[in-house]
Amino acid sequence: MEEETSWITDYFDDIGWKFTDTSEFESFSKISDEGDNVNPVMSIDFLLPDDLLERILIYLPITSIFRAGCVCKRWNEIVNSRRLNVLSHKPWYFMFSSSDEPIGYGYDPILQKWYSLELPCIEAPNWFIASSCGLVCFMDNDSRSQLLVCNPITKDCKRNY
Amino acid sequence: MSSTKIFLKSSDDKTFEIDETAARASETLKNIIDGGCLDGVIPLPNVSSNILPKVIEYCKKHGGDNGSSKKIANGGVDKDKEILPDYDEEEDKREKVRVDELKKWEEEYMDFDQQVLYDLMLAANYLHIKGLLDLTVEKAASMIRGRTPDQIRENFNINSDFTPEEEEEMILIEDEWDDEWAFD
Repeated sequence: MEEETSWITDYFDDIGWKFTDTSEFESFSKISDEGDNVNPVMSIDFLLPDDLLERILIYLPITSIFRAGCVCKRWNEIVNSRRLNVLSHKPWYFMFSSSDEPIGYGYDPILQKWYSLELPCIEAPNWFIASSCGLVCFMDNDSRSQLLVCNPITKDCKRNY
Repeated sequence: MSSTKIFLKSSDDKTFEIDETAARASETLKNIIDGGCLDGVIPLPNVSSNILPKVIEYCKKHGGDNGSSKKIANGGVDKDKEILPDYDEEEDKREKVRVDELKKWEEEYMDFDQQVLYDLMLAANYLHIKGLLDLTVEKAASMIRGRTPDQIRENFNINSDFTPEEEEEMILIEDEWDDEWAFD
Protein backbone atom coordinates (compact mmCIF):
# COMPACT_ATOMS: atom_id res chain seq x y z
CA MET A 1 0.00 0.00 0.00
CA GLU A 2 3.01 2.27 -0.40
CA GLU A 3 1.73 3.88 -3.59
CA GLU A 4 -1.22 5.46 -1.82
CA THR A 5 0.66 8.75 -1.40
CA SER A 6 0.70 9.24 -5.14
CA TRP A 7 -3.07 9.06 -5.48
CA ILE A 8 -4.24 12.60 -5.72
CA THR A 9 -7.85 13.42 -5.08
CA ASP A 10 -9.10 15.56 -7.92
CA TYR A 11 -12.79 15.89 -7.22
CA PHE A 12 -12.65 19.69 -7.32
CA ASP A 13 -11.35 19.48 -10.87
CA ASP A 14 -14.35 17.31 -11.65
CA ILE A 15 -16.76 19.97 -10.45
CA GLY A 16 -15.04 22.65 -12.47
CA TRP A 17 -15.15 20.45 -15.53
CA LYS A 18 -18.84 19.74 -15.12
CA PHE A 19 -19.68 23.41 -14.80
CA THR A 20 -17.78 24.33 -17.94
CA ASP A 21 -19.43 21.47 -19.71
CA THR A 22 -22.96 22.63 -18.86
CA SER A 23 -22.32 26.21 -19.89
CA GLU A 24 -21.00 25.02 -23.24
CA PHE A 25 -24.17 23.08 -23.79
CA GLU A 26 -26.23 26.09 -22.83
CA SER A 27 -24.57 28.20 -25.49
CA PHE A 28 -25.43 25.58 -28.07
CA SER A 29 -28.89 25.26 -26.58
CA LYS A 30 -31.27 22.51 -27.66
CA ILE A 31 -28.68 19.68 -27.72
CA SER A 32 -29.31 19.62 -24.02
CA ASP A 33 -30.25 16.03 -23.26
CA GLU A 34 -27.15 16.19 -21.11
CA GLY A 35 -28.98 18.48 -18.74
CA ASP A 36 -30.99 15.53 -17.43
CA ASN A 37 -27.85 14.04 -15.95
CA VAL A 38 -27.60 16.78 -13.35
CA ASN A 39 -28.68 15.11 -10.15
CA PRO A 40 -30.66 17.30 -7.74
CA VAL A 41 -29.03 15.77 -4.67
CA MET A 42 -25.40 16.80 -4.40
CA SER A 43 -23.05 13.97 -3.72
CA ILE A 44 -21.88 13.47 -0.12
CA ASP A 45 -18.41 13.57 -1.56
CA PHE A 46 -18.57 17.20 -2.67
CA LEU A 47 -20.27 18.47 0.45
CA LEU A 48 -18.47 16.99 3.40
CA PRO A 49 -14.92 17.88 4.41
CA ASP A 50 -12.43 15.13 5.22
CA ASP A 51 -12.81 15.39 8.98
CA LEU A 52 -16.57 14.74 8.79
CA LEU A 53 -16.14 11.80 6.41
CA GLU A 54 -13.57 10.46 8.84
CA ARG A 55 -16.04 10.78 11.70
CA ILE A 56 -18.64 8.84 9.73
CA LEU A 57 -16.20 6.06 8.84
CA ILE A 58 -15.06 5.69 12.44
CA TYR A 59 -18.61 4.69 13.37
CA LEU A 60 -18.33 1.63 11.12
CA PRO A 61 -17.03 -1.81 11.98
CA ILE A 62 -13.54 -2.39 10.59
CA THR A 63 -14.67 -4.59 7.69
CA SER A 64 -17.10 -1.90 6.54
CA ILE A 65 -14.33 0.70 6.78
CA PHE A 66 -12.18 -1.30 4.37
CA ARG A 67 -15.02 -1.78 1.93
CA ALA A 68 -15.79 1.94 2.12
CA GLY A 69 -12.17 2.49 1.06
CA CYS A 70 -13.06 0.87 -2.29
CA VAL A 71 -15.68 3.50 -3.13
CA CYS A 72 -13.40 6.16 -4.65
CA LYS A 73 -9.90 7.59 -4.37
CA ARG A 74 -10.74 10.15 -1.75
CA TRP A 75 -12.41 7.64 0.56
CA ASN A 76 -9.51 5.30 0.00
CA GLU A 77 -7.06 7.97 1.10
CA ILE A 78 -9.06 8.67 4.23
CA VAL A 79 -9.37 4.99 5.11
CA ASN A 80 -5.62 4.51 4.69
CA SER A 81 -4.61 7.68 6.49
CA ARG A 82 -2.73 7.33 9.73
CA ARG A 83 -5.22 9.43 11.63
CA LEU A 84 -8.12 7.10 11.02
CA ASN A 85 -6.13 4.17 12.35
CA VAL A 86 -5.29 6.07 15.51
CA LEU A 87 -8.85 7.16 16.06
CA SER A 88 -10.31 3.72 15.56
CA HIS A 89 -12.59 2.18 18.12
CA LYS A 90 -12.88 -1.03 20.11
CA PRO A 91 -9.76 -3.19 19.77
CA TRP A 92 -9.91 -6.62 18.19
CA TYR A 93 -9.02 -9.70 20.15
CA PHE A 94 -6.10 -11.45 18.50
CA MET A 95 -4.74 -14.96 18.93
CA PHE A 96 -2.56 -17.61 17.34
CA SER A 97 -3.67 -21.04 16.33
CA SER A 98 -1.64 -24.05 17.36
CA SER A 99 -1.15 -25.25 13.78
CA ASP A 100 2.16 -25.12 11.94
CA GLU A 101 0.97 -22.36 9.67
CA PRO A 102 1.66 -18.81 10.77
CA ILE A 103 -2.00 -17.86 10.89
CA GLY A 104 -3.68 -15.70 13.49
CA TYR A 105 -7.29 -15.06 14.33
CA GLY A 106 -8.88 -11.71 14.95
CA TYR A 107 -12.18 -11.16 16.73
CA ASP A 108 -14.20 -8.07 15.96
CA PRO A 109 -16.16 -7.29 19.15
CA ILE A 110 -18.57 -5.01 17.29
CA LEU A 111 -19.71 -7.49 14.65
CA GLN A 112 -18.93 -10.39 17.01
CA LYS A 113 -17.18 -12.25 14.24
CA TRP A 114 -13.87 -14.06 13.87
CA TYR A 115 -11.52 -13.46 10.95
CA SER A 116 -8.48 -15.48 10.08
CA LEU A 117 -5.45 -13.31 9.44
CA GLU A 118 -2.45 -14.43 7.48
CA LEU A 119 0.85 -13.36 8.93
CA PRO A 120 3.38 -13.76 6.14
CA CYS A 121 6.05 -11.91 8.08
CA ILE A 122 6.56 -14.54 10.74
CA GLU A 123 7.90 -18.02 10.20
CA ALA A 124 6.35 -20.10 12.94
CA PRO A 125 3.27 -19.79 15.13
CA ASN A 126 5.19 -20.01 18.39
CA TRP A 127 6.66 -16.54 18.36
CA PHE A 128 6.33 -14.28 21.36
CA ILE A 129 3.67 -11.69 20.97
CA ALA A 130 2.58 -8.40 22.49
CA SER A 131 0.22 -5.75 21.22
CA SER A 132 -0.64 -2.10 21.64
CA CYS A 133 -3.04 0.23 19.80
CA GLY A 134 -3.67 -2.19 16.95
CA LEU A 135 -0.01 -3.03 16.37
CA VAL A 136 1.39 -6.42 17.19
CA CYS A 137 4.99 -7.07 18.15
CA PHE A 138 6.53 -10.49 17.48
CA MET A 139 9.78 -12.02 18.69
CA ASP A 140 11.08 -15.38 17.50
CA ASN A 141 11.23 -18.16 20.01
CA ASP A 142 14.61 -19.62 19.09
CA SER A 143 17.37 -17.06 18.84
CA ARG A 144 15.23 -14.24 20.21
CA SER A 145 17.08 -11.92 17.90
CA GLN A 146 14.27 -11.08 15.50
CA LEU A 147 11.77 -8.43 16.42
CA LEU A 148 8.86 -7.52 14.16
CA VAL A 149 6.21 -4.86 14.49
CA CYS A 150 3.20 -5.66 12.37
CA ASN A 151 -0.27 -4.35 11.67
CA PRO A 152 -2.22 -7.55 11.04
CA ILE A 153 -5.12 -5.68 9.43
CA THR A 154 -3.14 -3.80 6.80
CA LYS A 155 -0.41 -6.49 6.77
CA ASP A 156 2.28 -3.83 7.08
CA CYS A 157 5.36 -5.13 8.77
CA LYS A 158 8.59 -3.62 10.07
CA ARG A 159 11.65 -5.55 11.15
CA ASN A 160 13.76 -4.35 14.06
CA TYR A 161 16.89 -6.13 15.14
CA MET B 1 -32.67 30.62 35.54
CA SER B 2 -32.87 33.68 33.34
CA SER B 3 -34.04 33.19 29.79
CA THR B 4 -32.43 35.99 27.84
CA LYS B 5 -33.33 35.92 24.19
CA ILE B 6 -30.60 35.55 21.62
CA PHE B 7 -31.01 36.34 17.95
CA LEU B 8 -29.34 34.29 15.23
CA LYS B 9 -29.07 35.42 11.63
CA SER B 10 -28.93 32.79 8.88
CA SER B 11 -26.75 32.98 5.77
CA ASP B 12 -29.74 34.30 3.80
CA ASP B 13 -30.37 37.13 6.27
CA LYS B 14 -33.29 35.73 8.22
CA THR B 15 -33.35 36.23 11.97
CA PHE B 16 -34.39 33.55 14.47
CA GLU B 17 -34.91 33.78 18.20
CA ILE B 18 -33.59 31.32 20.75
CA ASP B 19 -33.39 31.23 24.57
CA GLU B 20 -29.90 31.67 25.96
CA THR B 21 -30.18 28.41 27.89
CA ALA B 22 -30.98 26.55 24.66
CA ALA B 23 -28.24 28.35 22.72
CA ARG B 24 -25.71 27.05 25.24
CA ALA B 25 -26.12 23.57 23.77
CA SER B 26 -23.82 24.92 21.05
CA GLU B 27 -20.22 25.28 22.17
CA THR B 28 -19.66 28.01 19.58
CA LEU B 29 -22.64 30.08 20.73
CA LYS B 30 -21.74 29.45 24.37
CA ASN B 31 -18.28 30.92 23.79
CA ILE B 32 -19.75 33.94 22.04
CA ILE B 33 -22.18 34.51 24.92
CA ASP B 34 -19.57 33.96 27.67
CA GLY B 35 -16.98 36.00 25.82
CA GLY B 36 -19.25 39.00 26.02
CA CYS B 37 -19.14 39.40 22.25
CA LEU B 38 -22.90 39.38 22.10
CA ASP B 39 -23.89 42.34 20.03
CA GLY B 40 -27.59 41.99 19.35
CA VAL B 41 -27.67 39.45 16.55
CA ILE B 42 -25.19 36.60 16.02
CA PRO B 43 -24.58 36.11 12.28
CA LEU B 44 -24.19 32.49 11.15
CA PRO B 45 -22.91 32.76 7.56
CA ASN B 46 -22.61 28.96 7.23
CA VAL B 47 -26.17 28.05 8.20
CA SER B 48 -29.16 28.67 5.93
CA SER B 49 -32.71 29.48 7.02
CA ASN B 50 -33.79 25.98 5.93
CA ILE B 51 -31.56 24.37 8.50
CA LEU B 52 -31.37 26.89 11.35
CA PRO B 53 -34.90 26.18 12.71
CA LYS B 54 -34.00 22.49 12.80
CA VAL B 55 -30.83 23.30 14.74
CA ILE B 56 -32.77 25.52 17.15
CA GLU B 57 -35.30 22.73 17.67
CA TYR B 58 -32.48 20.43 18.76
CA CYS B 59 -30.96 23.05 21.06
CA LYS B 60 -34.33 23.71 22.70
CA LYS B 61 -34.66 20.02 23.44
CA HIS B 62 -31.14 19.65 24.79
CA GLY B 63 -29.97 23.06 25.95
CA GLY B 64 -31.85 23.36 29.22
CA ASP B 65 -31.31 19.89 30.65
CA ASN B 66 -27.56 19.42 30.61
CA GLY B 67 -27.76 17.82 34.04
CA SER B 68 -30.13 15.04 33.14
CA SER B 69 -28.50 14.23 29.81
CA LYS B 70 -25.21 13.79 31.64
CA LYS B 71 -26.92 11.41 33.99
CA ILE B 72 -28.09 9.38 31.02
CA ALA B 73 -24.57 9.32 29.65
CA ASN B 74 -23.23 8.01 32.95
CA GLY B 75 -25.57 5.06 32.80
CA GLY B 76 -28.55 6.36 34.72
CA VAL B 77 -28.73 6.88 38.43
CA ASP B 78 -26.00 4.52 39.63
CA LYS B 79 -24.05 7.30 41.28
CA ASP B 80 -27.08 8.45 43.23
CA LYS B 81 -27.55 4.93 44.46
CA GLU B 82 -24.13 4.96 46.05
CA ILE B 83 -24.69 8.23 47.84
CA LEU B 84 -28.23 7.51 49.02
CA PRO B 85 -28.72 3.98 50.30
CA ASP B 86 -32.48 4.13 49.76
CA TYR B 87 -32.55 5.98 46.47
CA ASP B 88 -35.76 7.22 44.98
CA GLU B 89 -37.27 4.46 42.89
CA GLU B 90 -39.83 6.86 41.50
CA GLU B 91 -37.07 9.15 40.27
CA ASP B 92 -35.42 6.16 38.61
CA LYS B 93 -38.64 5.38 36.77
CA ARG B 94 -39.10 9.00 35.73
CA GLU B 95 -35.56 9.03 34.39
CA LYS B 96 -36.27 5.94 32.28
CA VAL B 97 -39.41 7.53 30.89
CA ARG B 98 -37.40 10.63 30.05
CA VAL B 99 -34.77 8.58 28.22
CA ASP B 100 -37.41 6.67 26.26
CA GLU B 101 -39.20 9.87 25.39
CA LEU B 102 -35.92 11.44 24.21
CA LYS B 103 -35.15 8.43 22.02
CA LYS B 104 -38.58 8.62 20.42
CA TRP B 105 -38.15 12.34 19.90
CA GLU B 106 -34.75 11.78 18.24
CA GLU B 107 -36.23 9.18 15.92
CA GLU B 108 -38.88 11.59 14.71
CA TYR B 109 -36.45 14.48 14.60
CA MET B 110 -34.02 12.55 12.41
CA ASP B 111 -36.61 11.68 9.78
CA PHE B 112 -35.43 13.72 6.75
CA ASP B 113 -33.71 13.32 3.39
CA GLN B 114 -30.01 13.12 2.60
CA GLN B 115 -29.59 16.77 1.69
CA VAL B 116 -30.88 17.89 5.09
CA LEU B 117 -28.63 15.32 6.72
CA TYR B 118 -25.49 16.86 5.17
CA ASP B 119 -26.55 20.42 5.92
CA LEU B 120 -27.44 19.56 9.50
CA MET B 121 -24.15 17.73 9.98
CA LEU B 122 -22.20 20.71 8.66
CA ALA B 123 -24.18 23.09 10.89
CA ALA B 124 -23.64 20.90 13.97
CA ASN B 125 -19.95 20.75 13.17
CA TYR B 126 -19.71 24.51 12.70
CA LEU B 127 -21.69 25.29 15.86
CA HIS B 128 -20.00 22.52 17.88
CA ILE B 129 -23.17 20.78 18.98
CA LYS B 130 -21.70 17.42 19.84
CA GLY B 131 -24.94 15.52 20.41
CA LEU B 132 -26.38 16.62 17.09
CA LEU B 133 -23.13 15.90 15.27
CA ASP B 134 -23.07 12.39 16.72
CA LEU B 135 -26.69 11.80 15.70
CA THR B 136 -26.16 12.90 12.09
CA VAL B 137 -22.83 11.11 11.72
CA GLU B 138 -24.36 7.92 13.07
CA LYS B 139 -27.22 8.16 10.61
CA ALA B 140 -24.81 8.59 7.70
CA ALA B 141 -22.76 5.64 8.97
CA SER B 142 -25.89 3.48 9.07
CA MET B 143 -26.30 4.21 5.35
CA ILE B 144 -22.84 2.74 4.69
CA ARG B 145 -22.75 -0.15 7.15
CA GLY B 146 -22.99 -3.61 5.58
CA ARG B 147 -23.18 -2.24 2.02
CA THR B 148 -20.95 -3.01 -0.93
CA PRO B 149 -18.91 -0.19 -2.54
CA ASP B 150 -21.33 -0.25 -5.49
CA GLN B 151 -24.33 0.22 -3.23
CA ILE B 152 -22.54 3.00 -1.35
CA ARG B 153 -21.73 4.82 -4.61
CA GLU B 154 -25.34 4.58 -5.69
CA ASN B 155 -26.63 5.65 -2.29
CA PHE B 156 -24.43 8.71 -2.07
CA ASN B 157 -24.17 9.59 -5.74
CA ILE B 158 -20.42 9.04 -5.97
CA ASN B 159 -18.51 8.07 -9.11
CA SER B 160 -15.62 5.68 -8.87
CA ASP B 161 -12.48 7.46 -10.09
CA PHE B 162 -10.12 4.48 -9.94
CA THR B 163 -8.16 3.42 -12.98
CA PRO B 164 -9.08 -0.06 -14.27
CA GLU B 165 -5.95 -1.50 -12.60
CA GLU B 166 -6.81 0.11 -9.27
CA GLU B 167 -10.38 -1.06 -9.67
CA GLU B 168 -9.15 -4.66 -9.87
CA GLU B 169 -7.11 -4.15 -6.73
CA MET B 170 -10.19 -2.73 -4.99
CA ILE B 171 -12.25 -5.78 -5.92
CA LEU B 172 -9.62 -7.94 -4.24
CA ILE B 173 -9.77 -5.82 -1.08
CA GLU B 174 -13.56 -5.86 -1.21
CA ASP B 175 -13.61 -9.64 -1.41
CA GLU B 176 -11.11 -9.92 1.39
CA TRP B 177 -13.31 -7.89 3.74
CA ASP B 178 -16.58 -9.40 2.67
CA ASP B 179 -18.60 -10.29 5.74
CA GLU B 180 -19.48 -13.62 4.16
CA TRP B 181 -15.87 -14.47 4.57
CA ALA B 182 -15.99 -14.26 8.34
CA PHE B 183 -17.04 -17.14 10.51
CA ASP B 184 -19.12 -16.92 13.65
